Amino acid sequence: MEREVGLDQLGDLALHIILSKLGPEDTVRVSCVSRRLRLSTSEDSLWALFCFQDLQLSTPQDHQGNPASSFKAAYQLWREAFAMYPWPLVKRVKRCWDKLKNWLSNDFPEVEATLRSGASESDIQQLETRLKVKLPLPTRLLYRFHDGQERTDEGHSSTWLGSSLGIIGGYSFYNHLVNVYLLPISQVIEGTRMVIRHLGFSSRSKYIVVAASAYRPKKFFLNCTNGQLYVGTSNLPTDGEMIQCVPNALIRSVHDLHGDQQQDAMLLWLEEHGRRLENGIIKVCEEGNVRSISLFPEVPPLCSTAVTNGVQVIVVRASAAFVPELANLQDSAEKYLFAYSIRMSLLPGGCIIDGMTFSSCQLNWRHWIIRANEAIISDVNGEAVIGQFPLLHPGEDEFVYESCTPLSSSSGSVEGSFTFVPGWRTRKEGHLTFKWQGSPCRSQIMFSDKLLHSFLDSMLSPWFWKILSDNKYERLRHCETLF
Amino acid sequence: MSMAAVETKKITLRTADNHEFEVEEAIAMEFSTIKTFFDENPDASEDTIPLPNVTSKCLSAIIEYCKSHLAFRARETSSSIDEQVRTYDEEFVKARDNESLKELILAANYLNIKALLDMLNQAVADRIKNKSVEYVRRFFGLENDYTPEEEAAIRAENEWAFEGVDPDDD
Repeated sequence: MEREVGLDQLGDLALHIILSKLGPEDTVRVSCVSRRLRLSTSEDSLWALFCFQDLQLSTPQDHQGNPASSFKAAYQLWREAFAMYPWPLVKRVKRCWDKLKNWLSNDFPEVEATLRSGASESDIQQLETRLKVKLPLPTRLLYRFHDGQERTDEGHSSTWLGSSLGIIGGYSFYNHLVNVYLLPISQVIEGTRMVIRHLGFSSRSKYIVVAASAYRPKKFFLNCTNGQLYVGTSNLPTDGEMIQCVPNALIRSVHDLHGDQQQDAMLLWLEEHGRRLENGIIKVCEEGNVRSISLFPEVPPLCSTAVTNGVQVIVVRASAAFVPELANLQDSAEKYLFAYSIRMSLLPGGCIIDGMTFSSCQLNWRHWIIRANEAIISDVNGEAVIGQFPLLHPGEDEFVYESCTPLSSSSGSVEGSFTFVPGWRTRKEGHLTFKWQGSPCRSQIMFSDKLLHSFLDSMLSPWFWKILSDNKYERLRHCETLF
Repeated sequence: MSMAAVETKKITLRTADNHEFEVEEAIAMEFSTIKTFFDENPDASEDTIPLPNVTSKCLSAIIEYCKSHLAFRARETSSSIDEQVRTYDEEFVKARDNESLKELILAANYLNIKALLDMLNQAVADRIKNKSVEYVRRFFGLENDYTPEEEAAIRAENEWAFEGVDPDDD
């Protein structure tokens, strides 16, 4: 006896499971089938699942954070608000912002507070009309979620003094201080117009300024036609010279509404930035009382650590950042500039040599060999670092200093050693000065363009340290005593 | 006199159409409904269990399924076993028409066999995914009880859900 199995008899549970496997679009279509089914498809627990899967929502709210009456209503509002975009791209852009905001809320809430709420379609339309460009789809969506950052310093609209809350962050060495903000649409329009006026860009150019440093003239440009991101070099004012930020091969379908593979440089750049922040590759640093995101990497392999061989006493960490705004692609000898940050600390155990305990160590000597590719371009052997002899005490915060070096190639290395003296360099009591021999800190900074994740503004080749193998160096055996 | 031989205990099940199936205890325990019954009535092991909601056609398929999955589970887990399980499951549903799929779901629901139910539900979902409203209606054998205006209203409210539907090809 064959009988037709109607849906009613399938049972609510089976139906609920089928609908949850089908997803939101099919569930709506099922609701069109008959009134009976509409009841099952309206169960809010189902829509709670869809809201969570698609948008990571755990409470019903619309895209501006306003509460919605149910998860079903919330999902509907989201779809309607972004109806003009491919839904997979919307989900991806939301995930990108969520990752950044999660990190910010834990590590740097002051920056999270600067994120402006999303631009409207008509805001974006205004930008496109005024600058005569068509934004790539992923960038449009990025602005729909957040319209750049608000600056909090009072008054100045075109000078950004005193701002260290750029979400992209930066670096400082000598007097070169950089901290990059994402610009809101109003600043994108104004900044692009200024660039066109002052830097002589054609008024039909498809470049818009999307991010800029609060201090030094570091500017990021988005090319609206091909979706690539560029950063200006030192020749930007004279020649409009820029360096591309993201591998071209990754950019695709930036103006294509169909398909689900759209990605432009801005989205890739922010996703990579979020990944580095989430993984602790770059962190918040404090200098004086000012906190900012530092682009000097903090973890291997982009940051190298060296310890004094044998007796682990002093730890030296080093990493580098490419400085594109000071690059000069027309100068063959000093094309690229890299800044590096060296951090040194004395471990809490202090310094014990031959049974004698020293409550401090002081840097005495430094030797660098800098190579561009394999050619030695600089060999510096001398006292101090940046004119200082850092005195390290056990368990203290790291002593940090930054410096920089120009290079003719995008690949090179720095090899170096520090010599520390236990105690301090000169003891007025006078009878003993110890000089550490045979166990210098050696590290080699190598930069290589094979690094996978090098395309954040160190597009070409970031520096990174590499620890040379231990067995080349003798263990600490003796100290020479000098009288 | 009996040695301490391991006797596989058998349980008898009677279907709605009065066929009797003798199955090994291990397999019957895959049916949570039956397992619960025995947990609560440990002495009832000799009786035949009636299953008024399950046809013999369904039960024999279900027994096959449980037997095979028990055998898979007895082997060491590996990616090739997972692959074999997947292939088995695919074959299990592929040849069945929509009617028998639905009957199996009812039976699996009644017997409370979680893994089978999940797999069958997924198979149904796969069959109606991205299909038109009409297709789904036919699949479930349902009448459209909306007025044209009502149906049009649902579609208008949810335009986003009606893009990219597969054309009906049957």
